Amino acid sequence: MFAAPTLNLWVITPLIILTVWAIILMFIDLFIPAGKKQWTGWLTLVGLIPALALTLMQWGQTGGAFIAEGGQPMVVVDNFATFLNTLYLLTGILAVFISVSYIRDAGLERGEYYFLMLFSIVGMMLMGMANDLILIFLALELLSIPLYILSGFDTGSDTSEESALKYFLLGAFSSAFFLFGIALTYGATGTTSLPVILDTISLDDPLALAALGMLLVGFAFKVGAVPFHMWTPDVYEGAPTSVVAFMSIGAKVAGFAALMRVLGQGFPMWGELWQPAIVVISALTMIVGNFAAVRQQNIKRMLAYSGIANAGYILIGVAASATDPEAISASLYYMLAYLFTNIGAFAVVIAVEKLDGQKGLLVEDYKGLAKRHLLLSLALAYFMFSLVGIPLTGGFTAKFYVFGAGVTAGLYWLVVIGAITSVVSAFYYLRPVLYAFMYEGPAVARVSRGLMFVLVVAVFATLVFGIFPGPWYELASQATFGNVATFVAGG
Amino acid sequence: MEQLIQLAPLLLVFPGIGVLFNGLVGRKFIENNRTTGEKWTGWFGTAMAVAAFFVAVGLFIALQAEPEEHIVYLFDWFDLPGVGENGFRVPWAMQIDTLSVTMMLVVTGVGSLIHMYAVGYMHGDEDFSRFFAYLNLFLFFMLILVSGSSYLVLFVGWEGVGLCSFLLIGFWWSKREQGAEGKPVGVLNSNAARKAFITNRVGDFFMVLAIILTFWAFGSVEFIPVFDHAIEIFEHSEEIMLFGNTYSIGAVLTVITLLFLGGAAGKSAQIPLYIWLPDAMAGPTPVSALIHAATMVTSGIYLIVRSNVLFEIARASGTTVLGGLTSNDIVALTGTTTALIAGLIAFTQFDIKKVLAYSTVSQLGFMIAAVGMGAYVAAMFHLVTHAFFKALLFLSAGSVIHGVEHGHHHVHEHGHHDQDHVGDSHAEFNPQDMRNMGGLRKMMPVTFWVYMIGTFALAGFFPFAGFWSKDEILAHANNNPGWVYTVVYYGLVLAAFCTAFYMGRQIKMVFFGKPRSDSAEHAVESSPTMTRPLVVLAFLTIIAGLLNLAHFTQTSYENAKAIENEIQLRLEHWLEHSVEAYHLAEEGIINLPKTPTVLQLDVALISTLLALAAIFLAAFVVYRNKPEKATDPDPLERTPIWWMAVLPINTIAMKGIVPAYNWLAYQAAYTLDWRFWHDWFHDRVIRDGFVAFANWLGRTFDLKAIDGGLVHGTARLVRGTANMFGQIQSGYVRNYALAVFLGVVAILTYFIFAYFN
Amino acid sequence: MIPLSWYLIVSALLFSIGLFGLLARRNAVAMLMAVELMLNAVNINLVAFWRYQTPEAPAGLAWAVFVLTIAAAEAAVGLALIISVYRRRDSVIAEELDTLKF
Repeated sequence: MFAAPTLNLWVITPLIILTVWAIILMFIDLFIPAGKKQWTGWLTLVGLIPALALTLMQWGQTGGAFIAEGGQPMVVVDNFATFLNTLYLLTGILAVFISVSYIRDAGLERGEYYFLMLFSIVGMMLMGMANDLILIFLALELLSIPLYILSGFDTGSDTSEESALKYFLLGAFSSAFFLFGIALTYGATGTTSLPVILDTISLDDPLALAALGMLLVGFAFKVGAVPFHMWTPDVYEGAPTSVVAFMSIGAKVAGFAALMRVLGQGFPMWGELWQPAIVVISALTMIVGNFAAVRQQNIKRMLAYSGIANAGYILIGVAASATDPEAISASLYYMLAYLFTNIGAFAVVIAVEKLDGQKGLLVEDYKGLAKRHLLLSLALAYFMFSLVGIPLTGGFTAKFYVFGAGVTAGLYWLVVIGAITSVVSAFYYLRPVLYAFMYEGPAVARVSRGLMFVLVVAVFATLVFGIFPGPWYELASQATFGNVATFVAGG
Repeated sequence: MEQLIQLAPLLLVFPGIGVLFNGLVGRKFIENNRTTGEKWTGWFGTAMAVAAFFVAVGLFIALQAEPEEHIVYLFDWFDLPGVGENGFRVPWAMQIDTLSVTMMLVVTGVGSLIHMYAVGYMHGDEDFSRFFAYLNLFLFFMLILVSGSSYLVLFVGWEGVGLCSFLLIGFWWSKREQGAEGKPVGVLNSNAARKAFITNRVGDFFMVLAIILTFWAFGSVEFIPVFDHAIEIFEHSEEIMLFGNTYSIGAVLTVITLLFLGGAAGKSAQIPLYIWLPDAMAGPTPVSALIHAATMVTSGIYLIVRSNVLFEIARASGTTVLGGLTSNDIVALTGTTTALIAGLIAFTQFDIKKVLAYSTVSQLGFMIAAVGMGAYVAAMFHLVTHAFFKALLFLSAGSVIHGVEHGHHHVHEHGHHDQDHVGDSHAEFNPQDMRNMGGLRKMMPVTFWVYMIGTFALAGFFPFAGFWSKDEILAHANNNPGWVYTVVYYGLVLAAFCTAFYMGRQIKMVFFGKPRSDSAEHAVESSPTMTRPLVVLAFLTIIAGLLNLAHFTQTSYENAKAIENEIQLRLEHWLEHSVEAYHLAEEGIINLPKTPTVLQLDVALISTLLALAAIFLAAFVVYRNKPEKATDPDPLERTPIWWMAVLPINTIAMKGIVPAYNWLAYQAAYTLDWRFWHDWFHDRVIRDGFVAFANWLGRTFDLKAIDGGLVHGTARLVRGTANMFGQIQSGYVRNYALAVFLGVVAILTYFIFAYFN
Repeated sequence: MIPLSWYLIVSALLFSIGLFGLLARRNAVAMLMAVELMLNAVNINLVAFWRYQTPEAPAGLAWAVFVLTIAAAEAAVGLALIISVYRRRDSVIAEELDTLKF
C-alpha cells in the first residue's frame, strides 16, 4: 500500500539544521547558568548563519522532497522559496541582535525564547516551501504556536499575557476555518497537492469555491488583512517589543508566501474570480489600517496599524498577479524593503522604551529625543520617511513598484486608494519625528551594541534600496515558482 | 570646455560636505569655544556655498562656447526592463543647459550672500551649527532640483527642499515667549512648519500624478526624451495609448500641464495654496530671504519653464477646458489673480515680514502669469531680478528687526529698571510690528538706503531691475490679442499699482516720521557682516536690468539679432538655447504668442506713472503725518480705496480663505488625528448610528420576543453587533472573532455569487 | 449505505456549534473547547471524504491524525495560557481581558 517516497534531503537541509540546532540548544541551555543566558542568544546564530549560507547556495536551484511514487513533492525549493527563506533568516538574525539586550533588561532572560524563535522560523520557511495544503497547515501551526508563547513571554505583565491569549484564541479560530477549507478542497479534488489541484479542480464545483474562500481567510488572518486584523494591534501592544519586531515581519511574510503560492500555483486559472476579493480586502486594509493608525497614541499600536496598512500595499501586488504573474515580484520586493525599515523602526522603539512598567511607548515620550540622541532621532526620522514613502528610501521604491504593478494590471482605483492613504499615513508617521525634533522633553534612550548593529544595518539597507533598487528588484523578479515537472523528475 | 562641464557634480559635493561638517562636528566646535566655533562653522558653510557658486560660474563659462545642453551622467538609478512598454530606465544625471545654469547662479549666488549675512544674524543662537547644516542641506537639494535631467530627480530635490523648508520654518520651535493666541512662539513656529509641509504635500500629490502620467504617456521621465517624443507625436498627429484607450495628445498634455500647475501652485504659493507662505515667515529671516523669497518658491516657475514644450503643445493643440480656456490660459489667470489679491492683502499687514511675504506671493503671481502667456524669458528675467531685490528687502527687514530688538534690549537694560512686569512687557513687545517703528532712517542709514533701492526695484521705477522685468511681462500681455491677455494685462497693472502702494506705506511707517516706541528710538545699525551683503545685493538690484535690457528701437533689436552668437550675455538669447518652444515656433510647428521686441513706451509710461502715483498716494496723502503713536488706527481705513478694494478682498481672504484654510489644516493636523476619528466619527456616526439602528431593529423585530425566544444567542448577536460597531476595537476577543466570522461570511457570499454568475 | 452528504451535514453542524460556542461563550476554557470542536468537525470531513472518494489512498486518514496531533499541541499551549491568566486574575472570563483596546 505504501511506497517509500523519494526524500531529496538537500532540499530541506536548512530546515534540518535549524530544527536539530534548536533541539541541541535546548540541552546546551540547561548548562548555561541564569544570568548568562545571552550565550543561548548568541549560540542561536550558530544555527541561523549556516542555514542562511545554505539557503543562499540554494538560489537558482529547483527541486522537491518527499515525492511519493508518481506523485508530487510535499516540499519544494525554488527561487520563490529561497528568496523568502532568506528574508526569514535575516529577520531571525536581526531579531537575535535586538533581543539579547532587550530580554535581559526586561527581566525575561530565559533560554526558551531563542529556540521557540528557531522553531517559528522553521515554520515560516516551510510556509513558502510547502507544496501541499496539509503541509501548509502544519507550517502555519508550527510558526504560530511558538509565537503564542513568545507573545505571553513576559509573564510578569498583564498585557503580555492578555495579548497571548487573544492571539491564541483568534489564531486557533482562524486556522479552523483554514483547515475546513483544506478539507473541502480535498473533498472537491481528492488531493491536497497544489499542482494536482491545478489539474483537477473545476469551476463548476461549489465545494471548491467555498474551499478557496476559507483558505483565503486563514492567510488573511496571518497577514493581518481587514477584517481579520483585529488581533494585531492588541497583540503588538501587549507582547514584548522584540517579539513584535520579529513576528511583525516573519509571520506576515510567511502568510504572504503561502497565499502567493496557493493562489499562484494552486488556483492561477481562477484569477478573475479571486482578484476582486483580494482587491476589496486590499482596499479595506489600506483604508482601515491607515485611518485607524492616525489616532493611536501608543507607538507599538501605531506600528501595528501601520503593519496592517502595509499588508494592504503588498496585497496590491498579489491582486495584480491574477492577470500578470510577474506582479508578484513587486510584492516580494516590498517585503524585502519593509523588513529592514520595520525592524529599524522597532529597534528605535526598543531603544526608547523604558522597561520599568511599560513606559516610553507613547508618541509623547519621544519629545525632545533629538536633543540628546540626534543620530537615533535621525534614524527614526529616516525609517518613518521610508514608511511614508518619501524618495531616497526603500519605502518609496517599494511603493513605486507595487503601484506600478497595480497600474499595469489595470487596478487604477486600488492604486489611487493606495496613493491617497499613503498621504494620510504622513500624519501619523511624522508625529514621533515631529515630537522628537520640535518639542522639548525628557526623552532618553539606551542603545546597546546589538541595537546599534541592527540600526546601522537597517539604515544602510533602506538607503541602498532607496538609491539602487534595480538589482534587488531584479532578484525579486527571478524569485519565481519552480516548474512543476522538474519536481516530479526528482530534481 | 567639456572638461569644465564634467565638474558639475562638484556643485552637489560642496554643499554636501557643508552639511556633514556642520551637522556632525559643528556643535562640538561651538561647544569648545563660542567665538571661534561660530567663525569656523559659519564661514565653512558660507565657503561651501561660495565654492558651489564658483562651480556654477565655471559651468556658465563653459556654456558660452557650447550653449546647447549637456547631460552629465552619474549613475543608473532605476533600470527596470519589465515596467512599461520599453522598460523604465532613469539614470541619475545632471542636465547642464542655459536654463539650469541660470537657476544655479541665482541659487548659489544669492545663497552665498545670505549665508554670509546669516553668520552675523544668527550670532549667539543656541543652534548656530544646526542652522548652517540645514542651510547647506537646502542648497544641496535645491541644486538637485534645478540640475536633474528627469522629472524624477527633480522630484527628489522638490521633496528635499520641502523638507528643509519644514525644518527651517520650525527652526525656533523651542522659543518660550508668549505669542499670539496665548501659545508659546515655539509652538506657533512648529505649527507653521507643519502647515507648510501639509499644504506642500497637496501640491506634491499633483506632481506625482503628473510624473506618473508623463511616464505612461511618453514612456520616459527624462526631459529630453519626453519632449522629443511629445513633439514627434504632435507633428504626426498621432494618438496616445493610455489605460487601453486612445487620447489626443492635446487632451493628455492638458491634464499633465494642469497637474504640473497644481504642483507649482503648492511650491510657488499660488491661489488657493498660497497661504502657507505668509505663515512661513516664522522662520529666521535669512531663511525667509533665501527659501521663501528668492529660490525655493520659484521652483514652480522653473518647473513650468522647463516643461515649456509640453505647455506649448497643449496650447497649440487647441484643447480647451472650462469653456474655452487652454491650460496655459488657466496658468496665466491663476497667476494674475494671485498677484492682485496678494497685493491687496499686503495693504493690511502690520508685520514687516508679512508685507514682504504677501508681496512675494504677488510677484510669484506675475511670474506664473508670464509663463502662462508663453513669456518664458520674461518670467525668468523677473525671477532673477526678484531674487535680488526681494532677498535684499528681506535681509534689510531682518536688519531692521535686529536693530529694533537691539534697541529694545538697550531700553530694558538701561532705562527701565524701575518698571514692574519687565518680563510681561518683554513678552508683549513685537519687534516685527511696523507700528512700533518709525523714523529709523536716522538710526539705520545703510539699511534705509538699501531698503529704498529694494523698494524702488519692487515698485518698478526706472532704471532699477524690477522696472525692466516687470515691464517685459506687462508688454507681453499688452501685445497679444484675446480677452485672456486683456484681463491679465489690466490685472497685473493693478497689481503693480498695489505693489507701489504697500511699499510706500511700508517705508513711510518704518523709516519716516517719529519713532513710535522706545525701542525704535534706541535702534542701532547692524554689524558690517550683515550690511555688506546688503550693499552687494543693492548693487545687483540696480544693475540686474542690464541682463535683458529692452531694445529702444527696432534697428537695435535687428542688429543684436544679427550678432546673437557673439552676445550670449543677454538673457533672451542665452535662454533660447534651452527653451525648446522658441525653436518649435521658428520651425513653424507651433505658434507662440508674440513677444515684443522693443520697449513699449506706452506700457512703461503707464506702469511707471501708476507706481509713482501709488507711492505718492501712500507716503504723502494717506500716511502724511500719521500714525504718530503705536496705538493709532491705520489711516488707510478712512480712504476710499480701503472700502472699495482692500476691505472686500481682505474680508474674503481673512474671513473666507484663511479660516477655511486654518480649518482645513486644523482638521488635518489635529481633528483627523484624534478628534475626528475618536470623538466625532466614533460617537456621532458609529455609536449614534448603531444605537439608532439597534432601536429600529428592536422596534421592528421586537427584541423581547427574540430575547425570550429559542435563540438567546441571536439577541446577543444583535446586541453584540451594535456593541462591536460602537467600539470596533473593543478589546473583547469575542468581538474580534465575530469580525473574523463576518469576514468569512462576506468572502463566502462573494464566492457563492460568483458561482451563480 | 449512508450517503456522504450525511457526514458532511454532521460535520457542518459540529463546526457551526463550535463557531457559535466561540462567539457566545465568555469562558476562555469553553472557547478553547469550541475551537477543538471545529477542528474535530474537519476531521470528520477528512475521514468521510477519504472513505467515499479516494479509499485507495490513505491520505485523508493520515491527515486526520496530523490534525489531532496539532489540536493536542494547541490545547496544551492554550490551557497553559489560560492557567497563567487564572493565576493572576482569578478568572478565565475572556471579557475581562480588555486592557488592550481601541
